[in-house]
Amino acid sequence: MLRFTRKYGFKAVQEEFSLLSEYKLKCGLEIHTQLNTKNKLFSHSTNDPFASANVPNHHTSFFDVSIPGTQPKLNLEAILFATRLAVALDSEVNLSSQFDRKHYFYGDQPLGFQITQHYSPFAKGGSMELTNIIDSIDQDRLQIDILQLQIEQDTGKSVYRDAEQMSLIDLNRSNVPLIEMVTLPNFYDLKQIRSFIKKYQNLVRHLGISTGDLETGAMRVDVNMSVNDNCRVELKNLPNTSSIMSAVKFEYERQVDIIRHGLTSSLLAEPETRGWNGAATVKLRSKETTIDYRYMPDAELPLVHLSKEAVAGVRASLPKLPDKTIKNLMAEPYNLPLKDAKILTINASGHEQQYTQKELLDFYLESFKLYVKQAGQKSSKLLTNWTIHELLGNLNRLNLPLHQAIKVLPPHKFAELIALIQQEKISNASGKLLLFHILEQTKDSQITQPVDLEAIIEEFGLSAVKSVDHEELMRMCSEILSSVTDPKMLSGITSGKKKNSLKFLVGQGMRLSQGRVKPKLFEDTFKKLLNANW
Amino acid sequence: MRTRVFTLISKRGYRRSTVGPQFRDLAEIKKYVATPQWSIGDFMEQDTNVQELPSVETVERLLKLSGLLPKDVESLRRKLGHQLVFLDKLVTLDVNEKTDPKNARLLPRNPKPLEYDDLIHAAQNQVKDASLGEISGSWDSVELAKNSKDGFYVLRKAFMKRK
Repeated sequence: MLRFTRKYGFKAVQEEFSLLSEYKLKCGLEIHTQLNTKNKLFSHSTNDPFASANVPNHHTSFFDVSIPGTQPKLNLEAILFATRLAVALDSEVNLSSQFDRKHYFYGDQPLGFQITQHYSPFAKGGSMELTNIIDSIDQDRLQIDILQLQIEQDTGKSVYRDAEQMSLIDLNRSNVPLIEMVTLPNFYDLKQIRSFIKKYQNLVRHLGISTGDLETGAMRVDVNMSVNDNCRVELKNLPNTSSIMSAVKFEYERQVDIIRHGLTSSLLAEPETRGWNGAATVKLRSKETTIDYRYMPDAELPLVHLSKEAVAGVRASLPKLPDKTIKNLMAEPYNLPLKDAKILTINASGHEQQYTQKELLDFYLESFKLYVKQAGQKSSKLLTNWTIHELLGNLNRLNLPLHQAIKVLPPHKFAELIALIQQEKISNASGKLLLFHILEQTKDSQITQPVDLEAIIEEFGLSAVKSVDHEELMRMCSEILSSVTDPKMLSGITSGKKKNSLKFLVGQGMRLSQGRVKPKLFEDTFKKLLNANW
Repeated sequence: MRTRVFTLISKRGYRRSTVGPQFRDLAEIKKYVATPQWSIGDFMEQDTNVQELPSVETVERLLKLSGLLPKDVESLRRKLGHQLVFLDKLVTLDVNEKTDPKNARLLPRNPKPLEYDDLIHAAQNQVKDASLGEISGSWDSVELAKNSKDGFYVLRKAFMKRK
């Protein structure tokens, strides 16, 4: 692999990356998150930054496009959302915050300044804890401290047409509310960064204040990093987690090279901003100094005065936070393994998914309660498995959103279905067929009301065969055995060398009996017929 | 009775306060308050011998930061210098140091703090104002631009990328 180390900018990231103990990495994150309020931050035009693909400049008020004489008016929903986040992060909400103007010139920012919070931001302090158990970091636990949260407006979007020497500007995103969260430089390895981003992403989704998607730009992560406490470099334009990781790795190696060559005084003397081009970090610009931004209080926006009670009210209205939920799910009465607790609480990708995390969790908890009443707590693992594997699997396969499925299969019906399986009133295999059938019919809008399980079971004759006729069973199994054309398979089962082949036979039996006979009965009968004594 | 505080501002730009004789009646106070103690003219008057104009580099940098072309730099230097003299003198004025700098704007100082219900109510009752163009697609903003393409505003090459 070629390395043009003398240029300190061109070298591919090594495939096997590792941090070196004598070169200490220190990172902080700045995360911009679009709040999914109904309307924009300083106008009531629709907050839909992704409409640009079809209709650019569609959701724009006079203020959003900076028509002279227009004034900002604060959307209090953004204040509500910001308070939710601040409280969840244990930050101290500033009861009297203010908006300021940050001046810089750019095509997609027609005002010539961004309205942000510089002098008196919305909240300060707070933290988020990463743990080995929940977040898979290498350390037992690590506290990431939050410096501050500030509310600001997003800019428009530029589409560069280099060949035509122009850029196209869409202001649908202009004035969309953002919250900028800045951490202290508490990160010192890559796993911590990755885990934090995931956890923060999940938190904003859990609080219902943002989609948290990196891919769409609803969440944008900048990394401030330094090696051995040299000047910090800010990495920007990192569109997804893998870019973030690759950029940090590349930049670490670049800075280590500079230090090794004794060039820190010339190449790491001043802060700079670098972007990621997919293969290397590239200098975008020297970092502006605060004075260049010519901050000033916004003359048209009053201070945001919040009462202490308002903050307390928001605190009381917050849902239980994910870490707490996971711990609860792992304890009595649920006793879930961590993996399942995480699936029910935090694993949603958010993007193009059939359920929100809250929908799934609420569905599970309600079903659990009703199932335990019918079937007792001991067998609750069955409900969990059916929720996570069968239900979610089918929703994904059918592309059916959970909220739609719930109309036909609400928690009490789902609990009833699993209880029927637990009580062996229908077999496992019949249960699977039944669930898929119900969901498929829901997808095709053939069922729209809560389903009558007993009627369907009756209609399709899915009731488990209560007492199996021994002779009939022997006859079915003999018939299957006689149709097997590979004698080696049968001798392999007898000798125990091909134990797995027995499953094939059982499968044939299940098919023949339409899933109404328990697989164990087939297994025992086949073994008996084949003299398999293992 | 209150004592008089005279604020003297010399043409060289410094100021001092002195305590004068007592006011004798309300009319005298009203007259004193109504009589300007200084004029903008005093502040704008320049001592050309001491005035330092901002450097050409500073002016060019400010123009660049503002996305403006570096034209008429000399004239802009003089205008900026003039404004700086005013600002210079302005900062010599007495201010009440106890005043919260957040109140340096013509906005209500002590509005009633927002309560939880205010936030919820505002969030649930958002109304679009048609007279402010807040209804999506109700007006064609791009139509106002000199250059546009497929519904986008167009930025020409010179301003494309932030340097």
